[in-house]
Amino acid sequence: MIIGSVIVITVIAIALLAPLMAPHDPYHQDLMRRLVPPVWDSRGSWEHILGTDHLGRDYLSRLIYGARISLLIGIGAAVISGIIGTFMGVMAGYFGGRVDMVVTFLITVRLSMPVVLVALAVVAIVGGSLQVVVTVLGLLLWDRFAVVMRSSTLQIRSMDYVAAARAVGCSTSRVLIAEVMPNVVNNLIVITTIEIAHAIILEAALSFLGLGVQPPLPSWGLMVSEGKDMMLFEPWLITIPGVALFMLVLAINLMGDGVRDITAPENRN
Amino acid sequence: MSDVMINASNVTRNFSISRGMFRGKKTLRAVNGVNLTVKRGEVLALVGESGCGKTTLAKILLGLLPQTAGSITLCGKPINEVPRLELARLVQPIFQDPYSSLNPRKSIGSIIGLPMHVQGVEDSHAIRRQVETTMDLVGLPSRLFGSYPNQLSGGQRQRVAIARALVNRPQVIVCDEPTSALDVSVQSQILNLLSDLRKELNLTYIIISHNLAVVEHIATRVAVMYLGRLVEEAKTTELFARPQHPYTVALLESVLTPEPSLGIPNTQLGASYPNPIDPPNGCAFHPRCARAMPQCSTQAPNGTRLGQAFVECHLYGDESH
Repeated sequence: MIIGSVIVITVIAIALLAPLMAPHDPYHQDLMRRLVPPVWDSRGSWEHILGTDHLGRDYLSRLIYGARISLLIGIGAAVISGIIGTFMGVMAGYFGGRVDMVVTFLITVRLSMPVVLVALAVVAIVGGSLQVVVTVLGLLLWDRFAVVMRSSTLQIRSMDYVAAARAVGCSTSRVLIAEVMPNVVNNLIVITTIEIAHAIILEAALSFLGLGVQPPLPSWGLMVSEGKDMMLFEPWLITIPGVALFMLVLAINLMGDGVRDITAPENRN
Repeated sequence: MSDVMINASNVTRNFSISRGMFRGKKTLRAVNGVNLTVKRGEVLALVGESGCGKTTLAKILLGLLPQTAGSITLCGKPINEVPRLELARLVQPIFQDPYSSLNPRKSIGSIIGLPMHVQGVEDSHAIRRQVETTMDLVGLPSRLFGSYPNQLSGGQRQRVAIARALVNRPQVIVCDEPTSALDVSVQSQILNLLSDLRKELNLTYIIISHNLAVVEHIATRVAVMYLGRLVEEAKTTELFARPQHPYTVALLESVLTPEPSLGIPNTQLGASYPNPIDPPNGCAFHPRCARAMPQCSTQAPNGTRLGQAFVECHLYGDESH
């Protein structure tokens, strides 16, 4: 929990302060100094701590600017899908009956679509850009939100305090907002962190396939993709962004678990 | 007759039960033609086995479920026509399980104050004052105002539930097994609190209970339900001294005594509870009745008045019809 939060907060800070932190312009090409290895290699230098890529751009600067893209896509996609999925799930769980049938059907339809293929098709038609990737992922990742919110709302709906609120005269929207939502929000936090991590990985996959964020924007997935040709000779080209992705996703998941434990009502004293 | 609080006539509630895709739906009569009159200040206990429709009847009275047929008037007004907020000012519930009836995310103060908020009271000082008065009334220290339900004991939680029900000073309280989820040591405190509040605030109670000792202690009248029908209704002392309906007799015999050597009482009920989707013909109780007669399996009994009491059995009343 603490490790996760520290890593996530560090990455967010780096992303926000990217222009101040980055030692070089991430777009500046220096064709004379291509594929300089990182500083721990005998051929490395302190000028480019993490080396340079195949166009001579400073790898550390690209990594720092890439954190912006990864976080933006992860959070953006999770917010869009969270709104869609929570709305559908809570409605289905609370009202049941026909509403539930429709939502369950939509979830099944969504689950039968392979995310990467649909995203690839859409990006191929509309063209890849940051906005398109965020929107497409946002419209595709709501299934887990809907499933989890539906089942937790079902559980809450049968509680006596919901009946008590209705007997007290609360309107349906008040029951949903004041009685149901606060009790499903800890599940929502966990799903949100999972989906942020999921979206970051999917963006990396899409960029790796060349259909996500377009060059020269620095994205971690794109960096892996651009480095894959030199994988056998200069393995650090893909291990550095790969490790960054791995650490961020792991940290987000650790933080989600921690936040869930903190917000659980039984732990409040 | 202005002191009649609740008058239910012929109240019926059906549920349709799906039995799978190809077998169609069946109707379950959870409450079947119940007639009830409760006067101001009375404590009416509804007793009967699990699944006999007590809770459904309570939900109808609270306006949480619409009845399928029949009519209920509350203070002379038909319950289906009373606006939601006005109904909430007239009748309030107390639920069985204080662990599920309080929202774990809200403080005690906001739980008890919720009915006032909903009624449109804006002044937060007025709400706080009224909440603290009500907390005092139910014996909760006002320092618990900002606490959360998980910091309270079962008995305190039930007091919070009672305070929430009382904060707008309703006329009728419907208690669904108010003590059965509590420790035995706390049960009597809650029952005495309910009795005191009734005298103090001139409340009318409908109490649903399995526990006949509770009923005998607190109720003024008792209504016995079986498979959605009201089979007997009488004053508490009368019913416990001279039960009329064979089902009531069996119910009273089924009470365990504190003496373990007496063993489990034999109620002669034999066969298990019938399937409510497919109730027996005639009198619904006849397959389990020790005193069943030939006409019991063909003809449904009519209700008979015996003085103040009411009983629905072929053993009593005019058999000619």
